[in-house]
Amino acid sequence: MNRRINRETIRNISLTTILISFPILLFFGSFMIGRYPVSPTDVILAIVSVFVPINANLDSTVYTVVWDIRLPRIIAAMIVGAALSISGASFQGTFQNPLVSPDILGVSSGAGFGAAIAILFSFSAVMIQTTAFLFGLVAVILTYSLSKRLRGNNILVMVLGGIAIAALFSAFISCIKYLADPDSKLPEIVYWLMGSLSAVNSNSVLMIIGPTLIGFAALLLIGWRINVLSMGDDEARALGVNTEKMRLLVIFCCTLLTASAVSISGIIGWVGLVVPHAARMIVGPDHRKLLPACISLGATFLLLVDDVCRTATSIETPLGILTAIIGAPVFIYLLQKGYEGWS
Amino acid sequence: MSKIMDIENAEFSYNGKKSVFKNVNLSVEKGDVLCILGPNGTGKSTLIKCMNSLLKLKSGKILLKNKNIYSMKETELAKIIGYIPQSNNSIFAFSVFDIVLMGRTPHLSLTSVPRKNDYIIAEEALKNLGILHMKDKIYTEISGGERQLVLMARAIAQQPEILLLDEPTSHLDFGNQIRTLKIIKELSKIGLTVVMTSHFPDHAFLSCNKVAIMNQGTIMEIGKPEIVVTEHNMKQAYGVDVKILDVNEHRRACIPMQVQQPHVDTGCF
Repeated sequence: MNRRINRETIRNISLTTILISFPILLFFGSFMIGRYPVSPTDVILAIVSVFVPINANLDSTVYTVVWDIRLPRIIAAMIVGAALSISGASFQGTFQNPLVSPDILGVSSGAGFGAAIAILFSFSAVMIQTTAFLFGLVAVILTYSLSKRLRGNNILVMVLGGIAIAALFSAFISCIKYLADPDSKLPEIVYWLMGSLSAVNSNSVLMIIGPTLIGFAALLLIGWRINVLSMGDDEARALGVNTEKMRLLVIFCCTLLTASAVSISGIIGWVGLVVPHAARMIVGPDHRKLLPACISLGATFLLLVDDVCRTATSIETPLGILTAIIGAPVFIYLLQKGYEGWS
Repeated sequence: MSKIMDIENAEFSYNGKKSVFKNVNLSVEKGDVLCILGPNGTGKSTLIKCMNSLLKLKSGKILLKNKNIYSMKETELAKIIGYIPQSNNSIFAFSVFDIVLMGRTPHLSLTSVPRKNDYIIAEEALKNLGILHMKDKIYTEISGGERQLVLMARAIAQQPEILLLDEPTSHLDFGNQIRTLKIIKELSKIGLTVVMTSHFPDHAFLSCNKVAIMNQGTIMEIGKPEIVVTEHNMKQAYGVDVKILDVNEHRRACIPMQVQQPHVDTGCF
């Protein structure tokens, strides 16, 4: 008995170490990757010399590359990956369905529509991000109130409603594409919809830090309740959970996270669906462990993919394309492994 | 004996027009084991769900310790009433212990997680049902009978005063049915009040001190099993002939008479 517990403890500790150290290592590693070569020592000097008064004697280009170009982008990739993954896992638990992704309630299409409008009217980058965020929220609010009006508290109605709202906003997006100037606006809209982090700067990251922190913190705190919610409505209520309020809270947090993510990155598919499953294979279905694991894995995964995007080819590959190309086969692989989480 | 639950003139309807049941009056006393019998579709499960405020009555009221259950908060209610559904399909591969630990939820605040004390209570519940060895098994991989036991353990970990069971024996083999009834009887001995639905009139003799027969949307009769489970009442409720026999001084049984079939011996393939 004791030995077994020890082995389990060792496994837990090593898993935790890996899940914490991976994103941190990759965070520092990513500074060295890119068109403009920066050596490891230069990266460390460039970072440290801002806080500690030492004579780094570095080229000012190094500072620009490290602080203004790579740092925002690295942080953005990590936040977006983590946000999509934790939202996916929370939605899958809350809706008792392993095939749900974070944009199931229409947030991505709404945000896409917002961005398309903003681009059409030549708004500034900040305004594009803001309208995308707001329209993401609007789409989810529409879905939620629609499902309330139709059938009280039915999950299926909510998911189907989300599909309808998403389809509606996709149609609006097509409308705007049709209206847009094919030489300047249309490519911009299309490129935004493909998903990319190339336009990210420190302002766009600062704008989403507030809402994402709220989302992350709240979801991590209610992990246990999401476990109970995943048992089904009747049981969760019999166990003293106000399912309606709890679900609303989860939807609120996930929408904040996803809308923030989409507003700076455009539409990035598959991450929110695949990462939760991978995480579940590693740490099991308990959301107290699953949600932190999703943050770690999601951040690592998207940062890795974005590193590839900005270095592999001479022109940037849109992030959304690469996540789909990697995500779909991984998903099939998971299916093939006969993972118990779905039957 | 004190009344713990009182149902007065309850009426329920899913669509607002046709009522599933009405004029239901029922009182449950502390320590009772009440078995609700009745044919399919008379609203036994619906009534159980109403008792737990999972469904809302159209009219009438349900008093729990003299308090209207619809005015109580979920956690308050869950500390008094435990509920075991007819079947449970967990999608995610939780361990048996995690499932039992969920029984502690009503005792936790919104953001807190189970603590050491909760772990001890959950382990105690598993021990009580003799399934501590299943602790680390995956819930989605165990048999129906084992799941029933796990859900029972979860309800025990919840430490309620009333336990509602919706057809606790319906998915179980013969042996597990009897073992479940035995557990129910033991739970009532330690002061738990049990309300269950069943399809087997005989189970009323085995484990209950009170029987209610539901038929055509209302309660036909309620009382001690010996008085309520009669040949006449069974014929009325289910439309079949049964015989009530005293096997010995401790055991009365309800058995169906021979199935009338004119062409029985046509060969066996």
